[in-house]
Amino acid sequence: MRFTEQDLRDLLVAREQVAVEPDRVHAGIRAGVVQRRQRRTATIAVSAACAVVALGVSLAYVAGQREPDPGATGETSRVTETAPATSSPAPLTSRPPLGFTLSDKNIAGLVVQSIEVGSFGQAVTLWTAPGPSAQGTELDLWLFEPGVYQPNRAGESLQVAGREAYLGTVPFPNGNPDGNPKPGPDNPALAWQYADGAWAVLQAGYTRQPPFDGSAAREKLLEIAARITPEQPRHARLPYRFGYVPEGARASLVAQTMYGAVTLYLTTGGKRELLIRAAPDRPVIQNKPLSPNTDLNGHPAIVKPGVITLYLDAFYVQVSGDPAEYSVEELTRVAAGMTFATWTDPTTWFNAADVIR
Amino acid sequence: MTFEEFVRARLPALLRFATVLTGDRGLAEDVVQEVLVRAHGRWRRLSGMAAPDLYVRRMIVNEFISWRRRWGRVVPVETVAPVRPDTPDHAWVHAERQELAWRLARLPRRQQTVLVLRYYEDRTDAEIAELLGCRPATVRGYAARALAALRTDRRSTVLAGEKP
Repeated sequence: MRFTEQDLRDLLVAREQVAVEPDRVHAGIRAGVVQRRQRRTATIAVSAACAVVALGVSLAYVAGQREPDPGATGETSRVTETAPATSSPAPLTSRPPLGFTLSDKNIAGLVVQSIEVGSFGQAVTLWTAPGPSAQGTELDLWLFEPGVYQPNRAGESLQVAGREAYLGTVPFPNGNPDGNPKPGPDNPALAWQYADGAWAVLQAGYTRQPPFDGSAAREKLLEIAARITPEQPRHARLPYRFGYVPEGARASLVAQTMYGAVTLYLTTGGKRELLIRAAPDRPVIQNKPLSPNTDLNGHPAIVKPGVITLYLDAFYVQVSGDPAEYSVEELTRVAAGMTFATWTDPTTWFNAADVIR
Repeated sequence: MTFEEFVRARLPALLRFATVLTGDRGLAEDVVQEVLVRAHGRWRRLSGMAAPDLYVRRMIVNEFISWRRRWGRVVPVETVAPVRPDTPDHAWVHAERQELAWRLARLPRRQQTVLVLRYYEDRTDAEIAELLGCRPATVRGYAARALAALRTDRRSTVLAGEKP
């Protein structure tokens, strides 16, 4: 006897019935998020302490012309090999506010899935280019501004392009600087000083797949890191600008994805961020397209608490904010005051740093 | 859409998907929880994507494929395939399903994943290829090998147990 495809369908559908209750998992997710935040807070504290101590050590080094002691950071040193950098880090190229120095398409031969830029620096999710039989693997890359991040200098001490670097399975105890991705014994990561006082971090997201599932991970991370070179700075660009924003609002972060969506975060004092997302597709919920229910400044729109959606010719824009902090009237005022570029003509787009007039 | 809204809306479907994918409710719970906690950390970027749900499913697939049996967990057959009450011959159908489930659980994980995406999610080979980060032809190869294994293995077993 042979099984049929219908037998297989029936078996798989039957499996649904044993799924655990979502509430139980929801609670676990909340707990996991809280733990991660706690790790992040601890890391920031540790990093700040390291920065202060490192500054003291540097001053002592300059004054006394002696080798700084990695153990002087107060961290538990797991350095297996001490090899101070022989060449100085490159001076950091001036980067405009909300400016990229990394490609949004391809970095070191890897596909850029998403990239964001803010005052901390740049963060990128990379995807190894899929080949005929290879599985894609994710990596996260951070390029921090000077002084934003300090590694604890644990792990294997080595060099990237002649600059100070550390590689280890957990070189960042208590989590990574933004709590992401998961730190753990399976996540090889590499930190290197890519410019004066400025560090980059590269960490494999999935570590149980080639090429990050064994000893090759070390060489692969080093190979990728050596190929990461900041480019000429360029402004993040947005297909709109504002005629009105809440008082005190400032552009704090721009995130864009390989699918063409670009999201601006407006920080407004003590409130939660206001998000403005532009994308070439159409908004959907549960795979069903939404229908405009009104008109705003000549554009079809959906107005509801927390989200205003505007339909333009080749894209849509959503202005969203916590309804407890932003009234429908205020969000509508923001959306109605916007002027738009031509989606298909990037020369008409606006510099992110200049969209608030 | 905030992360909380996403979880509220999509968690039940993601759990069902993970349970069907893994065949193990405990493992599905672990995988989904791990993936969503990680997704929270990168939500700013994920929420800007056209289809965050698809991206999270890809994370679940990757997590399942690469999940090391850290706690010695194996895919248990007993959690799958409850028998429908209106089936005329419970014992026979149950045995058949258990056999199929047993065979399925022993396939390489990529092959299992392809079968779940094709026969449970009804996704096209192109969609599956995008989720797995490979070519559609590779997907077809996985599916063909998996289906062949499910069928020929069973036949071999039956033949081996037959009396002359």
